[in-house]
Amino acid sequence: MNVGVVFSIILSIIVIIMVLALGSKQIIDLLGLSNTALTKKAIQDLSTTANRVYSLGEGSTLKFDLTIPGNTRFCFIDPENPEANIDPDPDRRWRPDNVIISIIQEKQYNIWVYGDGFQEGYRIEHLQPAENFCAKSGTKLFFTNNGLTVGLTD
Amino acid sequence: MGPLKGAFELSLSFIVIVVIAVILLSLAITFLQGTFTQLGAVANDVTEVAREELLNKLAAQGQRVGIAAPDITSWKRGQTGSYALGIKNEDPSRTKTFYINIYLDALGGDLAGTPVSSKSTEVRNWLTFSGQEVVQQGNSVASIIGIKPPTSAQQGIYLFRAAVCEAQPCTDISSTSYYGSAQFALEIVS
Repeated sequence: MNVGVVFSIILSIIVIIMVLALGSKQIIDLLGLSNTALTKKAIQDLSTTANRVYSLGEGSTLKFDLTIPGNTRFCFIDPENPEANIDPDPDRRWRPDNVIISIIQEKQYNIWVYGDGFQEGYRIEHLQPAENFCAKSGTKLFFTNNGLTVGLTD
Repeated sequence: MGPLKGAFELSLSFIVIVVIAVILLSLAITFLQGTFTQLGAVANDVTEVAREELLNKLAAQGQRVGIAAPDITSWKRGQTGSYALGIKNEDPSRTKTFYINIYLDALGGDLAGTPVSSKSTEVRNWLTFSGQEVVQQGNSVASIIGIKPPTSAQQGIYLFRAAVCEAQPCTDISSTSYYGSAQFALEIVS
């Protein structure tokens, strides 16, 4: 083998190792930050859509495409009645822990987010899902104006 | 004398290329280090951003006590970290001293059904926090809670409550001088 090729391979390996050693933590942190930003944006979009439907006439419906990180699941729950919904579809299934139920009831959350390494609740005004269910990215959601509340189905 | 056995030839152009490659590598490393240090600063600043967000939230939403943390976070045994507990002094006329007590409120996950009293003393040692904070009139402070679950921590969800009182003793939300509280939960994973 040509000596130049051997040197090039050695240099390439050194560069790859140094980039991985110096940058891996930062790259992982950045990916985590972008996932957090996507989750927050989805919550904001859901809130905006719920408010928009609330301002429309009774019976009005809007479709919403849920876009969230692949390792995240959004669950929509009625805080007055947060009990489990053992759906045959595991992505749709809502089976909360007693601690989660306690947090939801205390803070009146109607969205529970299962993220990568965290779980977090949110409250969106007027939103009342027809049943407790979870959804992953790509799910089509339907907001319906039910008069005093905004219903949510998938 | 004939050529030495095992010797190899290097042309001038090859040597020039190697020198240029080494210079480029040094420049690339310097650039990457600088860039990653800046990005690292961004990532570390998130705690500061979260703290600012908490104080803004307290000011905007009329909340007295809040915490800058997701409701439940996953922690590995032996991992260290911190949360910020925000306290707002709603009194516009005088500086006040607030007393803080953080205690185990509930257990879940693999520990569901375990009596809280059986774990409360053990988990108190996982937390380090200031027992009191002085807050100027109408202002808010963010008090840091240090967290370190030991390597022997049992897997499960630990729900904590940070109770804030205007006088001592500050035991829980039933204390006579109770001012406000916030909850956070740690999920210990293997």
